[in-house]
Amino acid sequence: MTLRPHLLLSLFVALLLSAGGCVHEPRPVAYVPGPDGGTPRRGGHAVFVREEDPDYLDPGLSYGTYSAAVTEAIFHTLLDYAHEPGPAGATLEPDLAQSLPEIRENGTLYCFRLRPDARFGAPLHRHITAADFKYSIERLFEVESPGVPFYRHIVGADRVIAGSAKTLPGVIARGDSLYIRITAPDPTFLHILSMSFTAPVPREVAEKYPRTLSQHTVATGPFQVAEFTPRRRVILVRNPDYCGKPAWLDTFELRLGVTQANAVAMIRRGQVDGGFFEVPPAEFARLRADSSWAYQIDVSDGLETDYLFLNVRQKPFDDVRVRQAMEWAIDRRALLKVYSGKGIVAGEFCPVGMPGARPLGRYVTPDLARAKALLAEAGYPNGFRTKLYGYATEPVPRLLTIVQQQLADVGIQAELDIGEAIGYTSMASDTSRHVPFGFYAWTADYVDPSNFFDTLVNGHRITAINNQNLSLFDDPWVNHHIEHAMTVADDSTRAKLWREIDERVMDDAPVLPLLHTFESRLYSLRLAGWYRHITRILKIEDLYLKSAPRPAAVAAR
Amino acid sequence: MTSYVARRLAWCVVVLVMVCAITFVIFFAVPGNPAQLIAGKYATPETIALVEKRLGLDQPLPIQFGRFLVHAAYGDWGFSYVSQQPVLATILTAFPKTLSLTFGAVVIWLLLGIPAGILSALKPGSIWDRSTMVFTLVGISAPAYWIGLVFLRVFADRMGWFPLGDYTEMGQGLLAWAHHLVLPWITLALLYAGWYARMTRAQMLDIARLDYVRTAYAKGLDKRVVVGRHIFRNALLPLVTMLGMDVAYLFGGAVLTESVFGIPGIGGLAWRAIRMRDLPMVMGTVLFAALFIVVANLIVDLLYFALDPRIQRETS
Amino acid sequence: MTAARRFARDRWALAGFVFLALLVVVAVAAPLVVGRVLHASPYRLGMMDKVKEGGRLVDVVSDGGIPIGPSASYPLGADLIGRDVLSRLIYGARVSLLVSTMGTLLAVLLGLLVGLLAGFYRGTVDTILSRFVDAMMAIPILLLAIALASVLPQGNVWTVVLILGLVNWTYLARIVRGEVLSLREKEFVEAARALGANDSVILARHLVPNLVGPLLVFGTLSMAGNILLESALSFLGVGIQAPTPSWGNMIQEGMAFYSVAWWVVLFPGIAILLTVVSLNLVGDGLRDALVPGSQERIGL
Repeated sequence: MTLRPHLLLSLFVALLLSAGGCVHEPRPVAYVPGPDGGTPRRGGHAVFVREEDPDYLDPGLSYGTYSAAVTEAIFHTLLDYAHEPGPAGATLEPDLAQSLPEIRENGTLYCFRLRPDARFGAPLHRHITAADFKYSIERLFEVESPGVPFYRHIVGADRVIAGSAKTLPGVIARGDSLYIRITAPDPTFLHILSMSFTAPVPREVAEKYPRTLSQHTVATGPFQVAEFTPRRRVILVRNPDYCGKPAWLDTFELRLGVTQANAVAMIRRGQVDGGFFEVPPAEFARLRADSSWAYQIDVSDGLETDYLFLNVRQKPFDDVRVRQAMEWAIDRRALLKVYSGKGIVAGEFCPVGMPGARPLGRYVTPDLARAKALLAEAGYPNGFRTKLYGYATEPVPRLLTIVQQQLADVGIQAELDIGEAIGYTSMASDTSRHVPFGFYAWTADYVDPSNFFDTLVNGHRITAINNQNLSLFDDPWVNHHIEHAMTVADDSTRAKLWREIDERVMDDAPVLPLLHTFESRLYSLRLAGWYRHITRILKIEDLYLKSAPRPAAVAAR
Repeated sequence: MTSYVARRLAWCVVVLVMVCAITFVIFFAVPGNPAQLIAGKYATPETIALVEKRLGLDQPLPIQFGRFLVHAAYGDWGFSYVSQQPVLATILTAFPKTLSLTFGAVVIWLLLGIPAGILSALKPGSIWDRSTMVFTLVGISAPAYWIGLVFLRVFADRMGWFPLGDYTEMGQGLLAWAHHLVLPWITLALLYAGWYARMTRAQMLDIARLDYVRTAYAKGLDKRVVVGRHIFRNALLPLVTMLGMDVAYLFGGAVLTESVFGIPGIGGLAWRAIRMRDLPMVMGTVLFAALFIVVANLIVDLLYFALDPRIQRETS
Repeated sequence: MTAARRFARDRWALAGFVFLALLVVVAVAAPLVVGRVLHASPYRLGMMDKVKEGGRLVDVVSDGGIPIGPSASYPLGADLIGRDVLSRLIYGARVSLLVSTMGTLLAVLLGLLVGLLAGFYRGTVDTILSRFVDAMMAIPILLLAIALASVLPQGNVWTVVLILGLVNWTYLARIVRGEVLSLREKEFVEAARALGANDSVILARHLVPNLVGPLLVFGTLSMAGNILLESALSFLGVGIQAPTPSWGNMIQEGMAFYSVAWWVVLFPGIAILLTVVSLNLVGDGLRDALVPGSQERIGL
């Protein structure tokens, strides 16, 4: 099951681990980036579409993954992430603060100095002071923001949560100086402070509209809200009061209630410029084959591994030869076609986009003779019967049908048992259900291989329910090395350790990695400046219209 | 007369109760635990027990059924197991969409079907008649969802004339609303246009054989007058009856058309409810659909009763 | 003129009959046809296969996941996992015809039984049965079918047969009841009764034989409806389950890709259309043949 917890929650951990300058192996280049859009130019209007409304246009309350791109264009805070694609985007830069903070008292006191030109947008146009930040952080507790868990170690937060205090003594505002004191050092705290939960909200407006602030936003970022009509549209215009790098676009419109089927057609016809949705496989296949559109699809590694798990406590999967035979029997290239080629075949368990990961290329060329020999050696010369579990979300049933046939070619008769996606995970993760063989997909919660190895194959993690080690794989060497690797500080040593662990997992084959599938977004022919930002998904302020639009004949296709 | 109406009304209630009973039986009389169906194939025994308790499924069946009926009579149709929203409110939110779909389709099929049928009946056996009948045959034989897919492919995807599915509220502009609905309207209307053309033709040819029409011709009346005043007017009653029944039926939702075009109407609601084993929603949508059909039946019966003295004599 | 002659003179009905007969022959002989004439079985996946087309080797399914279209080796193209559409269509005909025929038979039996009882005994029996039929008919047929499909065991062809039978008998029961009501007043029934024949003799000897005509006509027409209903259920994913091919589930499987692989959706739809048209033509033809004097009223 693809797990996509709230992006923000997971990514600050990710950044902690990746921002320190890990060794970044070159990723396998699946797609050649297209010609760029020329020099960015100011001006113009871009339209995006989305099916659901943003959850809130309130920095204290908004927490939806796809609302983030919009709210983060409106609400900026002390620091921001670098405007760079890939891991470089994990670097923090000053935004409304003059510089990165001075960290004192053994990492428990953060001292910020605000920019003198930091201002709220319309209708206030007034200077943002440290007191505004203090109010906003205290307001999080008042409105029971989903961000509260991140800030509970600010000094005094426990009393605010308990209801015995309203203000935070740990947040001190003196003119343009802001001091934040936490109870214990926390190396992730800068990332926590950079979430838009801390974006300043003017007290005079927030207290006037306690429940409907989404309709009365005051911007602190490159864009401000000109209109928000629920179920219809959000219109952003460039915020002239923003002190940072101004947005390229004059206006940005988010049209709501458009399904993805229509969205692709609208982008192709040039009616809109983009959207927050995955390109459907059929459209992906068609657009990738088109020379002008191929470059307008942003394919990014979402750090995912789709795999089959084998319950190593059950016959015949307790025999490593059987598991290896199955690895050799599967032709992963055929499976990749089901995703229209959107991804790469997995010859390793850890996604290759992970810092420090390297493609191992194990079992990627099927070898049926070897598979049959291994089965015979294990005492199953005529194969065996089993049940393959999966869920009905497209294209999983199609994928499993192909796996079924490939296994049948070496004599393994796997009956498909495909149920609803809801409930599948809880069934598979309930050890007492003894699921022998099933499909699973894991997307990184944070950018570190431990999220795969420690969570999914560490024997010490096996639990009765909510068990993620679906193979029930428990190998002392692997367990020990995973736990050791997690403590190693040196990045290249760690990366090497993870690769050794991956080799060992591939040898023992408790899991059959199939594919690393990628994410995809489609943008109109005239739009440039888009890239998948590691935390912010899409930086709207970086979008611009190409200076030399393509000839109409091409654009009309 | 009053006693007849009262009796018909009473039967309507009986039929509606039976509709509820049938739906109830379908979900409870089958082997297997309804809570299991609701909780899903992979649910644990604990979850199933919880579901049973929460939904009152641990009560004896007659009590559950009785409780449902009493509540339903008071307009309390219960809450969805899945969304936890009140059933009746959810149905009423979906209804305008189904209404929009039905309305346009009715207009189109009447405009297509009836003139085609009349023209066919005027010259039976002519080229026009034959080609109309071929066309209507295709209309009544084609799977609606497939026609919808072909339309989407050709007129929305290829030509780009219409949106690819999606529904737009009438409040967001009449034009946008109609633009989104043109393809679903035509898809749904084609089937019915076929039936209406055939029905109109058959009715008119039937009546044309009757004595009084022959007399009218014999009196030397103009053909146009005979067709308009004598034949068509008499063929109208069965057509109006059929229209009433069809509209009532469509108010219950057009599952396939709605699902192909992504219209969030009653049909889609019922379909999702059945798939999710959301029993209160299933009961709600089925009862809602049945209500229209039963009422339409009642109106038709009363209409015939009022118009046809033979029935009055028979029933008194 | 005999009924058979009258039927044979109706060119349209005859055309429909010939098409259906051919379809039945192809469906019955499917294993032979598919084995000898077509190279691919309906179940064989060709994900990594290559075929020669115009002197070049081409992938049956491209790296982008698009299957080969209508071509020399795949006359109607391949589906999304590289199965031959034509052979699936032929095997689908087997399933569709079998299911709708059996479903119709079941519906006819149920309808006959209920209609006979209600029409013959009248009174309370009639009232109860007729109200029940009314209630069943007040539930939209597709909803009823989906509801049944979601509680009965899935993946079984006989489940679909049962559903088709259970949702369609009401209409036939009404027709039978009407016929019986008028037949029982006829002289030959009166005469039989006067001669002391008991109910079962009257039912079996005098009523049922006279119902064969209408049942044949309406059975054929309702089979047309059953083909559509079966395909709709399979399209919605609650009818015939993969990998068994049925025309409806073929359309459903191809639906998401219809913009790039139209053949997966188009051909099964045409197959349904032609079959249903033929059944309707034959049904109309039978009605004209069995109910004299109706030729000019119905049909083409």
